[in-house]
Amino acid sequence: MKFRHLCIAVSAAVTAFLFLAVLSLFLFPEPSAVLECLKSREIVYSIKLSVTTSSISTALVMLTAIPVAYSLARYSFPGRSLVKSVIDLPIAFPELVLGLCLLVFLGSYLKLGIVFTKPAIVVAQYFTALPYAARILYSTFEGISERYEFASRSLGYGEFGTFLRITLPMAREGIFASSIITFSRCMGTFGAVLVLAGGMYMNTETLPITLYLNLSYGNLNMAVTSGLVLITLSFLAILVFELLEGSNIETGGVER
Amino acid sequence: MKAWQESRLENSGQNTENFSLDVRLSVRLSDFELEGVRIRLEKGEYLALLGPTGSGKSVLLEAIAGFYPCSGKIILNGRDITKLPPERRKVGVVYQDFVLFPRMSVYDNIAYGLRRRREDVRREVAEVAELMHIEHLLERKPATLSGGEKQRVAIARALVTKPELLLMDEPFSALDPVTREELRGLVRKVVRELDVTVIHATHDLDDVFSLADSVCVLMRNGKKSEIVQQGSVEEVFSYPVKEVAKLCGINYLIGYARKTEKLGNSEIERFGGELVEVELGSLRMIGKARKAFEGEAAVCIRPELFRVLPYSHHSYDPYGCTNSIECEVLEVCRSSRLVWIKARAGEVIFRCCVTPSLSVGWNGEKLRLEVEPENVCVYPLGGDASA
Repeated sequence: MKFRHLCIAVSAAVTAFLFLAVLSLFLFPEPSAVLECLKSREIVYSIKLSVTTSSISTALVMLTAIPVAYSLARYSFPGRSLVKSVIDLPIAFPELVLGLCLLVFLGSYLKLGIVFTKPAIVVAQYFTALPYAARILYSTFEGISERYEFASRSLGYGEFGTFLRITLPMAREGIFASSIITFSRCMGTFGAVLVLAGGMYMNTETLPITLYLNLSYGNLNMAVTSGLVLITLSFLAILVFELLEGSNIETGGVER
Repeated sequence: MKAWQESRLENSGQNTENFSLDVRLSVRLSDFELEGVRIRLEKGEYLALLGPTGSGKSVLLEAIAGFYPCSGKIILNGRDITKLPPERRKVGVVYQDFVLFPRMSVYDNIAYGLRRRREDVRREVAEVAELMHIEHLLERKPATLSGGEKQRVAIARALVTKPELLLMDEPFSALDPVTREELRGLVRKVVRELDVTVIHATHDLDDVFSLADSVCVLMRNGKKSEIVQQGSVEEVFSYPVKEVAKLCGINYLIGYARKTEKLGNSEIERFGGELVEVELGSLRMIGKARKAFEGEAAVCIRPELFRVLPYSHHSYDPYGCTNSIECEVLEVCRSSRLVWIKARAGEVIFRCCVTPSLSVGWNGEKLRLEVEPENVCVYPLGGDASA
């Protein structure tokens, strides 16, 4: 067996294993039980809460990640590498510890009174997802030649006008991609939400919390159902992204 | 400032107010310095900024356009634009890679910089489109255009806002030779017609000869870059300094010059200068200098100004002052359009080029090189090329 066959075989095996694992979640429960669970007050509540908080977090993440990524891609300023590493940190940083840091900082120092409330969910989701969005946007902005902006400025548009008219439209794919990933990441945030918002039944209970709580009560059907909802929503997000991408290519994508 | 720079400024016989552009600047980046740049252009003058890759041509252009911080002063038509942001300088830019806005049509690209009534925009876009021969492309997206078409659109986009200075950074480098030739012709015509002042950065001598009135040669030495020579195209390539001669493949020899009584100066006068006799080892040649002198001299001969003849031939020489040199061929190298010959006469090695119609065969063959005195440019060394 040649080396390349070995490599391909390893990738095939890993993919098959993952695929079967996901499939088993769909095959395991009785469909009627899943339907029953979907109608339960708890699931409906946590779906609503998850979608609402994730939407708010995504909006906030995008609003801040765009200037952060742009400044990293374009400007040199004192502390630039520090900003860059702080943004990269949570990727290697355990989510649970991130939650703990936020808990201590918000609860004991800032004392904003949002700890263990619904806004805390947004805070936890925001900080978990921000690095991912900033990373994607950073490479997006880096991939856009500064000369487009120079050309626009020489034609009479200032920095902000150029950013709005030239840079943002050219970064459209990256912005779509990062908002979809941000949304999925927010939906799936568990550790930080659990620590910072408390994971209280029918109060700060997002979908991953529902999964966790029901698993620990031994209520397997409810756990599996919330898992299925999470997966479905993620797939939907990716699907929407692909559709938008596809329609975008027809209308003329970025010049390469 | 070097002596030849001074003399050019004095010779131009103009005071500062008559210049369209007056640049005096230095740029310091972390790993690169551009020192003591001084450029003055009259309205409608076309300056070629010649230099090898990495000599800082782009940096200089972008500093003038306002994208890099620099120290010094930039005066454009009497306005001090040194501290102005790029959008208020009225300086147009054209890049090698076109940078057309990909999501906009050609029309929208050109109209981008025009902020006025819609009818006016339509009329002005139509005018410039006609000028650049792109009327038929206005509805297209940039991605569907060829390289030459893209660059025509990019130039139209820069010209439509009527910039007071147009900066072009290697505008033809990404094009194939035929398109490049076409576009040179078009740019020459349009720029003359609109009387735009242009700085065109290039490393291609053909750009310089086909377009420029004056040339400014940038060279990098380690971390530092500076202008090594500037002047009219004719002047710089007739009397190049050593670095420029090397960059442009001009024969640059060191010899000893004497005044000569051999001939009257009547013939040479129309080319500007006076006849001198130069000794290159055992070889003697007649050349022209700006002013006859005696002493150590640089002798510059452009490779294309030699006539290459079979050894036994002579051409008609009514004044008896044509330099006729018996040579031995050292090396023959064919390119697409020309044959390059390296030949030796005594201790001197000449590099010359001829059209392939002449059959120059083998190494060691004897040849005769002829060159007219007005093409042998001599200037005193250890001083000042322009004296």
